[in-house]
Amino acid sequence: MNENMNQLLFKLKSDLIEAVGAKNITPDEIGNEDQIFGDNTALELDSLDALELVTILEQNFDLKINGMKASRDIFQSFNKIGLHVLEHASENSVKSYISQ
Amino acid sequence: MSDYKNRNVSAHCETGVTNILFEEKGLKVSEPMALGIGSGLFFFYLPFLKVMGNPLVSYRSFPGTIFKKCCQRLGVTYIVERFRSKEKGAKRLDNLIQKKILVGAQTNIYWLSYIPKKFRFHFNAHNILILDKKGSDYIVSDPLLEEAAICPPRSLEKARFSKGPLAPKGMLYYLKNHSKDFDYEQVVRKGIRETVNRMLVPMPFIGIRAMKSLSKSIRKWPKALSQRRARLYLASVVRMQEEIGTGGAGFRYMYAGFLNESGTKLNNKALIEASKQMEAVADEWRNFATLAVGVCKERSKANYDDVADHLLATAAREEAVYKYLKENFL
Amino acid sequence: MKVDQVPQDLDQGYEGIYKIRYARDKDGNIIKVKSTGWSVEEAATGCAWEDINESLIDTLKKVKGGKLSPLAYHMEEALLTPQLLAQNLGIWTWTVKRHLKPQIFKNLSDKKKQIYADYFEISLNDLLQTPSLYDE
Repeated sequence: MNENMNQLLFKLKSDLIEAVGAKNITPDEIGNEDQIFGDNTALELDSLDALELVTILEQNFDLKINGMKASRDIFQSFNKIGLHVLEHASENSVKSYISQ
Repeated sequence: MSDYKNRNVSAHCETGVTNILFEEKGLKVSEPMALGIGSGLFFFYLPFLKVMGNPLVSYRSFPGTIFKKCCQRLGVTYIVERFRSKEKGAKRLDNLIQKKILVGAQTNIYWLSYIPKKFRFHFNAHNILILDKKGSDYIVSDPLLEEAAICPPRSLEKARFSKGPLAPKGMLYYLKNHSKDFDYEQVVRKGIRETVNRMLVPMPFIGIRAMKSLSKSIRKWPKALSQRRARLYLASVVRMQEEIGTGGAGFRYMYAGFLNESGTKLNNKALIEASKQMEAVADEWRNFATLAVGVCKERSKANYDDVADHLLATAAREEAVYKYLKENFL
Repeated sequence: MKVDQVPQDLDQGYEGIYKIRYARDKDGNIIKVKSTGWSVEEAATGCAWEDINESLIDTLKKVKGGKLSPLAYHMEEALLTPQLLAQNLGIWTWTVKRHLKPQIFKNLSDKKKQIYADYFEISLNDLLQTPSLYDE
């Protein structure tokens, strides 16, 4: 798996964990294919948390997620989020985000 | 607030806003004329669609169509703007106010705190005029009120961007230009023709047919539903007829006003006669409401069948008016 | 309906305003008439509010009994359903439904609770509380 993608996902996971104040969980414990949002998930995140993720993506990559349907699709797993970022964000923004 | 006295207090929001916007441009279109020319009189009953738990009954056409049809038929250009972001919506409104443009807005009614609590339900197609801004507050002229009201920005924002059925999306609308003349008779004719055709069309759920369907439903409600639900359904029909601001009897009195006004102006006996007939029909609708509420409150000896019967009779009388107009005016 | 038949039933719920009803005057014109209320309309509206208030008290009892979170009360008081509230906040319906559970709501961060409080335009403190069952 692509090194860029690896680093990107790790950072996204850390940022999200911090943003939502999830306790006792590290990025390693979240699988890339794991469901992020929903009942019975490891993070137990809900759509109020999704707003945090939308903010992270907007601020770092200038990516706009339009509407709840779109967010539902993209936020299914970190893999999906990572793919979306690599597809739509500029290379520079990804590089500078990873090196933060 | 004494500067902002609404001399044109209206019975209904959309017709009221249309009336005021047109008058500001020098076009005298009274509220009843707006209803008539805009083919606003209607009836539909969609039992399978529930609004706030009640079957959908409406005595008028789809929200927004009265204003648009009046503009189209009277040769008036109008602009409608919708917004994806609340910030852009607010900015644009402020911009229009600065330009001294009289702007109408579609809003949810629940969040408009100046309206008496009793009438605040979640309905997303209310219409108001925004006159001015003082500090951060907006001066709002609700066509239903005599005095302008102060509306805090947060309330207006929530009202303009409320989600759900008929979501306004911050909609603003205003008039641009109008061609100087319009053919009064032609415009009246168009308005009436559309109303008559739509009311008589043999399609389920709309027009006179819908009234007959509703009558069947009313008969069934006490058998198919709990007493409580049946009463609530019946009450909701009366509310659509009287509470929401219709000028009485589900716009039928206002329409009688339109027929009378246009009949007088055109010196047309058929219209004036139709006006009298429509007024009598409106009286029957009032009686229907009285009967229905008596059943709701279990205060009268009447039952659901009586209410259903009365509705059928009223529908028949209303049908006769449209047929009369078809034969004697159209 | 003639002008003098326009109901003037002094509906308190009008809070001093009046509604316009159209009626025929002595000259045969149909004009706007101010109406202070109609008992029939008042009764129908009253029916609806009775039902709403009954349901609200029911919800309040459930909140007091630990079956629902205070959010359930405030949401219903604003005449909203989980779907409508979720749509208006731009969040998912299942999220709101989940927050109706007392324990889950209790454990929400203040930040999340504030989003609800802001929408209802009440303080965070007020969001966490509900009126006493015996108010009135």
